[in-house]
Amino acid sequence: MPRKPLLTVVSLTLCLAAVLVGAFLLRDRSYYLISGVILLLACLPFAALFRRRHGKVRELVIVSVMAALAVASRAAFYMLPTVKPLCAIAIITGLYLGEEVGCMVGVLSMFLSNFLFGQGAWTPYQIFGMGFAAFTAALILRSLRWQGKRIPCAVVGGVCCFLLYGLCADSCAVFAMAPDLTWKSVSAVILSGLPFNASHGAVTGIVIFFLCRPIGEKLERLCTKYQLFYAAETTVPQAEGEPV
Amino acid sequence: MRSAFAGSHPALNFLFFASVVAFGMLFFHPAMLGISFAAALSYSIRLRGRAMCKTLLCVLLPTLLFVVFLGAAFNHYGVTTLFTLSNGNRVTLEAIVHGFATGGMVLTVFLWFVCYNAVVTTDKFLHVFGRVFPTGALLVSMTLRFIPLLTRRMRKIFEAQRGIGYGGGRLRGGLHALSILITWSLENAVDVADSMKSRGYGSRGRTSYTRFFWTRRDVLLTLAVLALDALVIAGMAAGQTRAMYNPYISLPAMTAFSIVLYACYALLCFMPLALDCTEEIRWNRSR
Repeated sequence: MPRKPLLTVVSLTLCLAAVLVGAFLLRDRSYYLISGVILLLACLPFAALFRRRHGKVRELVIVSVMAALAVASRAAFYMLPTVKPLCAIAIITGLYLGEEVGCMVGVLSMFLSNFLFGQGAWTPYQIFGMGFAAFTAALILRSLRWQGKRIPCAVVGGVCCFLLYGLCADSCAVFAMAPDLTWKSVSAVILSGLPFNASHGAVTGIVIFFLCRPIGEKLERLCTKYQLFYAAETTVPQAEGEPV
Repeated sequence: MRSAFAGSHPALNFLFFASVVAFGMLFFHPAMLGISFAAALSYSIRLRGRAMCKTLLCVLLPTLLFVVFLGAAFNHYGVTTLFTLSNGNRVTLEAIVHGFATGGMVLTVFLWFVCYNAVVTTDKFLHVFGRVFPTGALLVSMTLRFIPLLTRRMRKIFEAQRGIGYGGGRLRGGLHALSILITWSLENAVDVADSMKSRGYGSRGRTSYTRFFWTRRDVLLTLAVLALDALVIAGMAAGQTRAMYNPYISLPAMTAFSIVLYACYALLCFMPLALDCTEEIRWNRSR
């Protein structure tokens, strides 16, 4: 599958712009509107992906299953706030099915899991952060062809989750808690979130280490068997008698 | 319980919930908070009945009190000191009132979401967003449906493991169950997709069945909600909904305009409940 990271980069930039517009112009009050806009923008590359190869309903349903898995995994550990395998599942999906798909799973599952955990001012930031982290981690690992290597995957995934997701999620607290945007107040808020983000990143890394192969094998097998995602354009045409 | 408001057009339902949730999160003014809270509470009890009362008493009220306690214990701004703690920190009226306002706001929005979930079912969600953004709406509703399905499958796998006397231990058994769940669900996803395709998903010229039609009442109510929204926004722009709790409680002066504003807001928030009551009265009379 020819990858199109440019469109995703553009749409992520637009997402960032939406968050900033929401924070400064709307004074951070209409977060449902902003999270809706972000969801729409994050879907852009994905929508493009589907327009190119119309009728790939199977890919759509698989994305939805992965997102549901991610939400369920977050719900399973609701007692422990830093244990969120959601990010890890989004990154693993991105690793094997393409960064846009990982971004989409991250965005969708974050949006939906917040229906269970409470929507609020943090929703757009979390959505954006999750999509951004999953996209970046998958892009780095895929371009280095490190899919099968567990330790690099865990490290890059954990660091992306820690830095990118943590920063995006904390910027919500920055806009909410620090009325005067000075370096001192911003760094105070970010430092106070550091332990939480570090443990979230570590958990993400550990989950990726353990699950990246089991899930990856299944995704790869599925792609090969049904000619989906990357396998659609690289392997031999479909066998006779295979239901389409 | 069946609600007359739930029977009206989904777009109206959406417009209503979007307005009350947005206003619920915008206003810190005690009168506005109180109106919205009362409406959300009574409507959620009407929709959910006794189960709602139980959630309210066991979960929501403790949460509210916890928020108030946190606010009062850790914020020491305000000019009206109620008493001084042994470590010299003051507990102020302002901090407590602010805690109540914050907690009430969170509670109100939560209650509105309880009502939202009872009124706006997935088919309504799809009806409203399906045309604007078909793929996204489909993904959202499909994922929402997969979450309980996956949970149920996980339970089935555990039961089967227990049934055949599988002794994998908690962690290994759990990992195996997860592996089985993923394989099962991904394979099943392909079947679901094929089924969708064979029923004509994505084919050209296909129309979708809809149960929802605009009635005259829906149109009138939508216009009413829009007009009330406009009035409330006008009141907000005029600064009638501003409230300050730090360093002292200051509210805008009560004027004729602010009373009209409260009345409009109450009319907006209690609209579904009023609709339900009128319908019920009419039904009882006709019998």
